[in-house]
Amino acid sequence: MSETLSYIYDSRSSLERIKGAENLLLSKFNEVEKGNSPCFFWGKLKNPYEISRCLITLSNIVQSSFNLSPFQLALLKDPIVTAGNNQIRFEGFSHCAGVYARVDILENGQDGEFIENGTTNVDFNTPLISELSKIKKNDELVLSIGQQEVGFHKEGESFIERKVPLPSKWIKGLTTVQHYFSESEYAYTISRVQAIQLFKTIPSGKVKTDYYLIKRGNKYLFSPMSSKTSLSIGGIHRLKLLQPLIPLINELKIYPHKDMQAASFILCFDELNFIFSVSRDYWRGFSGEGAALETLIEDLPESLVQAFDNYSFSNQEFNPALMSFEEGIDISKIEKLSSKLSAMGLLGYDLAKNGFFYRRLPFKLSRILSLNPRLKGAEKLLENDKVQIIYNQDNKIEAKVDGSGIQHYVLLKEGKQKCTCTWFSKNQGERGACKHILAVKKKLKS
Amino acid sequence: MLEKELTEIVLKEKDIIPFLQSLNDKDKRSLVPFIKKFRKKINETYIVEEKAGWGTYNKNEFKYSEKKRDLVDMACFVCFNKTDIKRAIFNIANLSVSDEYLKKIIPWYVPKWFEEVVNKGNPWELNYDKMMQLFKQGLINPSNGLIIRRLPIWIIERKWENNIADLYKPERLLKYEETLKDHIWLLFEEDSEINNQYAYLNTGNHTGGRDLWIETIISLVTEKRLDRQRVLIATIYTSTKGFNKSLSGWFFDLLIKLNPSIEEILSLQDELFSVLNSPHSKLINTVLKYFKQLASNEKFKFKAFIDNSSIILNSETKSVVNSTLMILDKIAKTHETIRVEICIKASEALINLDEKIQSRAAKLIVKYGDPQNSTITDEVSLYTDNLFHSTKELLKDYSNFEEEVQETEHYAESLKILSEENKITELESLDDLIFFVSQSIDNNEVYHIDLLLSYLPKLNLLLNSDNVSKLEPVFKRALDLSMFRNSNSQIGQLESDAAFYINDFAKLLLKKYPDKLSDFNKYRDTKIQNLLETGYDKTSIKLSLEEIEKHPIHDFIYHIHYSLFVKSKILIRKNLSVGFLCTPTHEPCWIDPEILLNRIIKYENSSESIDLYDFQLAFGRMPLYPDNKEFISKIDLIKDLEIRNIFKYHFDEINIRSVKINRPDLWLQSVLSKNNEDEINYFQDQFNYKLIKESGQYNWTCQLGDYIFKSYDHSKRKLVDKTGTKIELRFKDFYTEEVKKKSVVSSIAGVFRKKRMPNKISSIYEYMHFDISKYYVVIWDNDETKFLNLSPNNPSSFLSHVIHHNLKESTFFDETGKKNMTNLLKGLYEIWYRADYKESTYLFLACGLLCSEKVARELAGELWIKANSENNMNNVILGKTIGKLQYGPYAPFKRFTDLISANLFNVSKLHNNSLLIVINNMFSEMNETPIRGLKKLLELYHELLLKFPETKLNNRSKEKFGKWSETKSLKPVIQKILNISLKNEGS
Repeated sequence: MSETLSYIYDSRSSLERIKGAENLLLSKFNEVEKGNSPCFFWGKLKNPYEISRCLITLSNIVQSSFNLSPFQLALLKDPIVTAGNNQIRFEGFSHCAGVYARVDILENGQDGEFIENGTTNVDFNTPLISELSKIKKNDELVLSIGQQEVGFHKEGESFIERKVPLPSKWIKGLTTVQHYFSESEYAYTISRVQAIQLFKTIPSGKVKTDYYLIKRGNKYLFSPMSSKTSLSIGGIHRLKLLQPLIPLINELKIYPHKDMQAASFILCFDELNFIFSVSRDYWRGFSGEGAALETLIEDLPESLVQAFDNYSFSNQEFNPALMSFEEGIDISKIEKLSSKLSAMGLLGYDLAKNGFFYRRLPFKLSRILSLNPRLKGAEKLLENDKVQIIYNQDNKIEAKVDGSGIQHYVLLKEGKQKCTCTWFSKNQGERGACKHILAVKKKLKS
Repeated sequence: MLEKELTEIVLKEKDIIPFLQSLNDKDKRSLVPFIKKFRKKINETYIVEEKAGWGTYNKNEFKYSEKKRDLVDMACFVCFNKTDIKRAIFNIANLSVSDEYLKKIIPWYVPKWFEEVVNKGNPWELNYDKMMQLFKQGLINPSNGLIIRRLPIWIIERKWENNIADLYKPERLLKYEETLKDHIWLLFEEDSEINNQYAYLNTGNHTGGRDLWIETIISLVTEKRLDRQRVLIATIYTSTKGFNKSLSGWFFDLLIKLNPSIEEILSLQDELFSVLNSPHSKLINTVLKYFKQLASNEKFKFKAFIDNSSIILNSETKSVVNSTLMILDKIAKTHETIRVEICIKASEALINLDEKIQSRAAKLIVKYGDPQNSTITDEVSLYTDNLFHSTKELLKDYSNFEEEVQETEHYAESLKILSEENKITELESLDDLIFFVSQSIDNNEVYHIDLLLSYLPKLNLLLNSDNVSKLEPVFKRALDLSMFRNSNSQIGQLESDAAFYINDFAKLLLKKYPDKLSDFNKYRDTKIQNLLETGYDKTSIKLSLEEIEKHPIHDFIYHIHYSLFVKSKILIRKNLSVGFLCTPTHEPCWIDPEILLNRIIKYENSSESIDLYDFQLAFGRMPLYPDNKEFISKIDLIKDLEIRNIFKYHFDEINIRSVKINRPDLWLQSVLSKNNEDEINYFQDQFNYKLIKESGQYNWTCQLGDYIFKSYDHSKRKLVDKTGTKIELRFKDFYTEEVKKKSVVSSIAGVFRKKRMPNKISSIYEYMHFDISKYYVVIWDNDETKFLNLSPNNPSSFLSHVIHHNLKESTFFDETGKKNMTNLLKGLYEIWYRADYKESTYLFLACGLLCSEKVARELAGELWIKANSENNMNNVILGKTIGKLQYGPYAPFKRFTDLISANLFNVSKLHNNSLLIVINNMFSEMNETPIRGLKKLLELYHELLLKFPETKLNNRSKEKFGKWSETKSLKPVIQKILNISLKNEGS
């Protein structure tokens, strides 16, 4: 059974015309209320046409699925919005968690007041999307995240309760995506015209084979054949979600993951970025990838995590060097900390700025930590004493870990790690370590 | 007490209502556990054997009467809470609104869950009228979803009895005030069945169109029962509700029928602009039609239109782009001040690969633009690479188009066949070998099975009682795979076969180290036991555990690998580490000549004889043109004179006529690899043996021909053979010789045997074919590239079989055929390194360029681009082959011309020239009767010809042009081509 979590929104999100200006009211839900203010941000958005198109695309992404049944697809999910550090970010996943998208409204893209920093789920309903699609170039759009007034929703009927499928997928995916972002490298910036040409080369229908982004002369195109410098993109039909935005962009930036485990794109508009990332294959969600697992086994003292949380909450950004200086913590520890904290969902990664930002997901840490089956599996192996280190010398570690009926052989040597289990044999470490390797590593740390 | 009473009422089928009425809340709660059990009992069934005309069948019968079951359901209805009732009664929503319940129970008891169950359950018993009555009685507040589901069909009165026609009754909408005031508007907000054609209805009183609801709404508007302005706005805004294409299109049909006046359109401009973001072109086209009427009107919000035009100018639908350009043209005509802005917008349409659209955009720019305005010229120059010659002519004042497309550069990086980058690391250590064997059955790389054959004997020599248990997980995986065959979509049959081979290895080791592999042994016994207990077929289990020699071989072609598996087992048994000659040293299947040389010497120094297939595979994988030729001097270290000569011949060090050939089967692969017509003829004459199947060289046609199919004859009451005609690619003299399957053991006899069969050259090609009658899937996917890589120097033989089985028509019979095609094209791309392949290879490539799978066409296109960049493509043969295929025609021409426009055109000057050669040679082989789509090809040819006006047309092409120009639509473009040609000849 898939895990679900019930949201209870205080009221329905809506877009209303008040005195000729559009007011976008986004209802919030938060599992870990940190501040008390019901409203995070209230202000005017400068580029309403582009923003509303981006939000519609985000909503389309959140409602799309590339490997789920129509029944699962019928259950809707909502994006997350973060207000803080003078930026507003809307983010979400496709149902299958294989596509991630984020709308970053940059500092100069809004004119308003950040009453409090925070992250919340947002109710994106059909009437709201319908209203967004009516926004034209010179309209005025006022955004309010959270609730303007307490007591606005006294009527019992205005409560909306919605069961959301697999939010755990999202939470796992969100942590993995940040990790992948931090390991992604800038590759190309291409112009609007080149981007239009590029997107015209996406084949129609569901594409099962991998495609590659290649440059031929001045043109960029997607080709089914790889070359030495090409960027691999699995399930390329997922990029079609971006097609309506491409004619509106200024430029497109492309960031492949260092091991091609994800491909990320930044659609740059004036005062607005749309970040889009697809997993290695359409049938692989970010949630199932184990890229961040090894950082999660890193044991850091609770006090350090707490110190970080307080520091970042008040600063809304994460500057490792500054934090190291101000809090008197060794910089190498801080780097480990940043990996672990992004894996825990406390840090987001801004590709354009090449750095982390503080974004506390509206979910309890214990929930995030308890989600990963491989991590849970590794802990269970250790609990039941099923890990046996048989050799540990000269940077070579051999271990035997109980599997079903037989013992798996784990080898850690010269920075490489190998296991005889099916998961490792199939993926060769590309999708993160298996539970056997994780268990051995954790045992070595204890 | 209550339980006893209820039991008696049900069993004696008494009236239950008084009893239920007497229950208070506490009584009801206390009865729930009993009712649950009781209901289960009353619904028990038993099996009855029934007779039918064709035999007997089993039928379930209830033990208790329907009446008793109904009585218990009533009790459930009154006593159960929401969760229990939903679990107990599947169709509770229908039961709740049934006439019986509404009459007997609802008047005195309405369950708390009643409203929710009715709203969510969407009961078919509940029509709109009944729903409204329940609403009026205060029993439910119908949800929007329920109203939307019930309202559309309410205008029809269904008649079930006596075949009386259904009646169209729009007046029903007037019965309740809420219907027109609120409910009808919901149909504009959420997904509904309003667009249902109701074609199945036989509405006797309505003979008009089938779009009853469009007529209904129009009438309601005409009668002023619905506000026209509100209907217009609501209809337009349906485009923002995310409806599907059909429903969105229906609403815009309604809009068209509402026929808004110019004044109305002017007042609705803001609403209409929101439609331009719709993904459905019909909606956009409708709105553009309205805007065209307004374009010259002074109240038209032309600035908003210009703002919104980027998205529609980039539409995939040509009519949308055309209409947008027309409106921009009209705006520019009226508003002089914004002409620059309009020209810049119009240039966005230059990205379109349609010549007419480019031309329209260019004309607009020329008409209203200023060549001195750098904003316009800068914008136009962005699209230079994309423009047709005619567009460039039009825009010649706006940009300098003289710069030709760049010379090819992207393939400067192309790999050498043997380089450090594609070198396969040789594994030596125990750990490396264990982890390799563990992944060898996952098909992570196409050459892993080849490596496994050499690595398992090598690993065998490193095992001892201390380390052998590390292999247990590997053995477990192999055992699991062999039990359940090909359950993994990423692997092929060969991986399953490799699992049998690893099983055999496990058995050998189990004998040697029973204590060390006890966990695996135990696992295997338990697994077999479990499978037997769950009814798994005993014979299948037994077969899975058999040695590989005793396994049935799937198809002829698998013999080659099977023989290698068996040979590898011999090496393991003998504790030999000589390995195989054919193990690739470079990805995907190549062998470094020096390494092969050393392997031969190693064999000669051992007691083991070389296997014939191993030898043939090795020479078929040895590239002809290695960069480094230092190894040549070492060839003389080989003791066997004939092998030495073959090696030298392979690298042009000796002439085949200068040496004596004793064992042609050893020479075969080098003769085929070199593919020298003269040498092949000499070889054939020497041994009175034609290398037909070996070279895959057949005569073929692609024309209309007869074929036989089975059809049911009603008079004869049986299936009979009938003859039909279809266009098919056929090999006229395809190799059909029956091959008797040899036992695997005899097939691996050493090459140094004394007797040779006369006039027959034994080779891997004897097994390189498929038994079509045996399997539904002819070529298993994920194995095909491994077959191609059996002989990369000579792919034509294998590819001829793929053509024969999969490519007779350009559409694929199944998904496997498509996968075969894409996998093989990727494989061929990797091994393509020369231009002189036999025709079957070019035919395969041509089929790839024309087939119905777009990915395959693009792959074939990429192969063509790469091969041309490296000067490894015979464009004359390719062009003739495509032309001959299109004589049929084999495939719709649009596939090929679209591929040219999108992928092959303007790659580089070199590629444009190659493309010209391809098309020129196509013409000479094509049918005199022009086929559909030829015009586009001629236009592309003309475009290319303008780039290379010195090109000479061949005479056969000229003849074709003469015939084709009799067709009116082709005449102008042919004339343009001939004009260039004439100029050329004149100069």
